[in-house]
Amino acid sequence: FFERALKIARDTLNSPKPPKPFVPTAQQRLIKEKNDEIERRLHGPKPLPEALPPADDAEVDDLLAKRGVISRVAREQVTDRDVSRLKPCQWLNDEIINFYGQMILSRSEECVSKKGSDGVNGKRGPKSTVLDVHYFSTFFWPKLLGDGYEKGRLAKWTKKFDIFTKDVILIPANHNNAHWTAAAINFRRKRFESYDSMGMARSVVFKALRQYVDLEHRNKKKKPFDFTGWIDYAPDDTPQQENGFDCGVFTCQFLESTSRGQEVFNFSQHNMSYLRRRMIWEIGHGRLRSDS
Amino acid sequence: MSEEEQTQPTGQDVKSEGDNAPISVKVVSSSGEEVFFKIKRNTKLSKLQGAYANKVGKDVSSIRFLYDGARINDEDTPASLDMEDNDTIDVMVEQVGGC
Repeated sequence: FFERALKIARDTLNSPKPPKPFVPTAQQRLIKEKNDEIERRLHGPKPLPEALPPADDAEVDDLLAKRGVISRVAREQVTDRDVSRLKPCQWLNDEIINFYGQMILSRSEECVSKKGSDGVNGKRGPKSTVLDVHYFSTFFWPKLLGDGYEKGRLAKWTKKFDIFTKDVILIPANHNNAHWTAAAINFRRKRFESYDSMGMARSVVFKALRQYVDLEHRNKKKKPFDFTGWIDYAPDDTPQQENGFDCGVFTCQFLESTSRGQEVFNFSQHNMSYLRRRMIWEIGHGRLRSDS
Repeated sequence: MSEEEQTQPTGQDVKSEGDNAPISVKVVSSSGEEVFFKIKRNTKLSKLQGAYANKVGKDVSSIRFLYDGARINDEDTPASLDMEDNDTIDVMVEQVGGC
């Protein structure tokens, strides 16, 4: 019996080992992500619809007829005067941009708390990824450029969270009280990003973002930020406005797409009248639509 | 420019002075002008906002008050925002853009 047991043991030892379970390495995951990105670039994101479903479209007219405070989300609220700026040809103000940004932030926070904080990073949902983002309000930019990090007391803006654990930091930038652009610090892809529907604001944005990240890192982590591998990113195919009033809508959409890790924007000037009405619906309901 | 202002406490909810002791708050405009207020910890900051708007001659709906980057709501009090003595409130103006 002993002999037999020994033989079986010896045979098992000499037999080919079972294959190792497949665990993708970090590199393989990166390749998969790249492949997915190429896939999306080839086929492009789904085009936007031309209009809201009729019932929702009618709700937009009802919202435009309301007076006083139209909607609230977290610390933001908008009145009829703010919302009326989403009618065709109007400039947007800080209230609309910040309300929209808050909805982006709330959606991200919801997804993070649902999935657990590391579940959201880089994982793909059925449609696209909702990243772990932070949204800085439109007042961050004038503080950073006007007062600077110290005098603007920007260290205190992040007393409740650590920007360096986020996927992306979203920052709307107002230029000379006439133009909106979207900026982002993309920790996931190591990019300082600037999306401008007029194709201008770049160097000023990159300079400010780099300076902020370094000062924030010195303040919170007590050492300079490591810029190794980081690039400035302002893609040539950024959608462009063909008029003098739609940049706020473009900016909100740049921020929204970026918060889902979408690499190719699926909107252009053509979609602006639809997107303005869609934004009224979204603001009125305090949540972003998922049929993008 | 700096002045001392006293917000008028009304509708007293008398708690122990320790909890509700007044704190000093500095309100700074985007152009750097400073106005100082004393406000009790449980007094709504909407009072301070109204007093400030009055003082600088602006409509309160045309300016935005921020504490450490967060928008101050009408219901907020220094206590609800964990404000400390000598803290600063930023006043920002409406921003617009289109082209």
